[in-house]
Amino acid sequence: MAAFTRLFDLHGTRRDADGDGVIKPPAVPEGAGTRLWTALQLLAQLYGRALEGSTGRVPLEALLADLQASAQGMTQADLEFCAAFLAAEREVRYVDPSSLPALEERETRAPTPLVRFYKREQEVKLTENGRLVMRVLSLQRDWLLGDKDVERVVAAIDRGLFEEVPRICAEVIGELRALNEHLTEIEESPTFEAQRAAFERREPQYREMLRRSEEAARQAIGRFGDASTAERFAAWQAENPDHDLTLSDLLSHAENVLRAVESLSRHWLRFLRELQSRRRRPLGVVDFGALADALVDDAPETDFLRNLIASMGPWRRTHLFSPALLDTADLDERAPEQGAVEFDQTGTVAAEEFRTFLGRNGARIVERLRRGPLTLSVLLAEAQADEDAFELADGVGLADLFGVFTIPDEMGEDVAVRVGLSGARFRFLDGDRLLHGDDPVIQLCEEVSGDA
Amino acid sequence: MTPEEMGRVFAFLSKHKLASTDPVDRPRQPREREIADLLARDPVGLKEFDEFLAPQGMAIHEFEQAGLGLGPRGRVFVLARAADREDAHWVDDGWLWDGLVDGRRREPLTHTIVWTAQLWAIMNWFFYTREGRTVEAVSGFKDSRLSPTEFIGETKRRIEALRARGAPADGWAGKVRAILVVADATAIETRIRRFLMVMEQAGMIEPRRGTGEHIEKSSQGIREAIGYRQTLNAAVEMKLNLHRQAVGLPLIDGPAEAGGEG
Repeated sequence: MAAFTRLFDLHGTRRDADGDGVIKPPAVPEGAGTRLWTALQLLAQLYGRALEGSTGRVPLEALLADLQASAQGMTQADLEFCAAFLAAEREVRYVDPSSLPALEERETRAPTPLVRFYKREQEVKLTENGRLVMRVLSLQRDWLLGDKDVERVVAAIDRGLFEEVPRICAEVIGELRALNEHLTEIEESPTFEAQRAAFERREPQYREMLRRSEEAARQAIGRFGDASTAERFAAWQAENPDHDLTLSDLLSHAENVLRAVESLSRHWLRFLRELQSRRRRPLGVVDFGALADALVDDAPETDFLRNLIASMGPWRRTHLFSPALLDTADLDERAPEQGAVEFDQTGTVAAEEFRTFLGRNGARIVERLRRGPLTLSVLLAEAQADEDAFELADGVGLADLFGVFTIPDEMGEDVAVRVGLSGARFRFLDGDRLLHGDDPVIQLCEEVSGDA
Repeated sequence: MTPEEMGRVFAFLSKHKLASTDPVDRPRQPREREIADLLARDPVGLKEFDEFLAPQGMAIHEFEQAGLGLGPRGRVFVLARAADREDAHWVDDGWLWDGLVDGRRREPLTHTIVWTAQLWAIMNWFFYTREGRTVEAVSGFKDSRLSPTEFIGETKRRIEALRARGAPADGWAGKVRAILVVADATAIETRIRRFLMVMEQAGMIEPRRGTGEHIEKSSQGIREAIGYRQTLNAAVEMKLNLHRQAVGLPLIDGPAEAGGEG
């Protein structure tokens, strides 16, 4: 309701004729809030009765009894004033769309009364416009019924209202997007924590709404494969030769609805994870102006400042290696040959083997690296030349150790190893298995303590 | 995601820091579609990739573009440092200070750091405090605004106020004050332009793209006119990492009041 008042304010605003841009909105008198509340209650009561089937006149007295139960000091005179006001016609000016591009104004009064007021009998009755206002007000975004929106797409296809499909899809996508952004607003809100309980309580309903929305979107897409849809569409085309919509256009509209639903579902899952994980207290709105002053008056040490700036995002990837570090004379630069290797994609067995290998041989590798950086191919070649170079578990060959692993602790805390590309390729034959690829360079960094 | 695909994704993200399935208001980077599709198509692979990043002090963050109000569809993946982990060796910030040091390269690093910290705080005043935006509000990056002219004006005003505040404090605070107040108007302006240039190179700010036009290689003049906005990466890193630093920062020990001085 508050959102509407801006438009009505603007409608009734006076703007200075000399064009200096000063606008004079109507002043809000005292008691405005109470009057608005009373009027809305009056309309809501009448609307509620209408929903139950009774659209006739209602004595003010009956309405007053209900209102007095929830508000102190409400009198029949207050209610009568509201009813009489809402029943009066008021001038509304608007631009006649048929006059465009010229802006010709028209005026109307007829649709403005929201109730009919029968003064003598002290009775009121909701008008069609009053009913419409209440309907619009009740159309506030209701998350839990989002699936009903998506079902409209299926209904439009089933009833052959193909010209409506793009509009309905656009509306549904717009609504889903708004919900998606609304989730972000809640996530980023300082009162996020306070809203936790409400969301957790309704989680099953939200989940169900998303499930049904997805189902409805898939149904809509599925409809385009039906012969009956094709028939209806052909009939529709015959009746609407001016429309240039095709079935594939319509299908892509429906697919966009599904994408929007999927996006919302993913966001919802992340939102839930965030709700359920323990969160830090938010920093909220930080006064960076005062912080700038404090960085002088209560200045932290430069190391701290340096670390602070660097840790807020302006990092870059270093160029880890320079091939100049290496004697590359013996690097194998032949073009790769065709070959196939099957990696264990699950990685669990291989990771265990690699861990064992590092445990047994980590110290030897570090020892070898102390003599200078070397490429993986050199390391492997040395291992092949000397059977005792590495200690391998039974049945494990060097080729078994290839894979992607992240087990940083195995190297020990006082050693850091860098790995980068040399720009060369390697070929490695282990029994009947040939591996080839980019030849990484391994280098021992300066030994560091703890924070490596 | 196979190890080979993981390698490709890592190579891309460690360079560009971000990949979107449907980039908004900017041209697509070479291979970006392939990388974003790899990340988008397989939630298990995404989780494995995150585990791969963890020991390197990195994490991948995923956003729905519709959720950020960036466009009707698409997902964006952001590589950011994880607040509670040590950085990998391939992460470098040394270049930053090389870029920020004064043009004649005669000033000690301390001066560069003190100045950069001031400018960083003032920049964030424009991005957060002035807008009443919380540090947690990542999506606010798209509406953030930093005008070079205003930035210069605000900095000069602050330095002037610092000068007017009277007798210099003793010790380290006195030294910091001296480093700042010695700069004249021209020096401040030059320093800010350099700061903005380096922040743009670092992917912390970008020219504003309010009207959807591409600004790829715009001139300095255009940047002046349209101003900058914070990048998504910068907003994510602020949210994740300011907490880690907050312990040692004056004033940031909990939610502060909105507003502040103008």
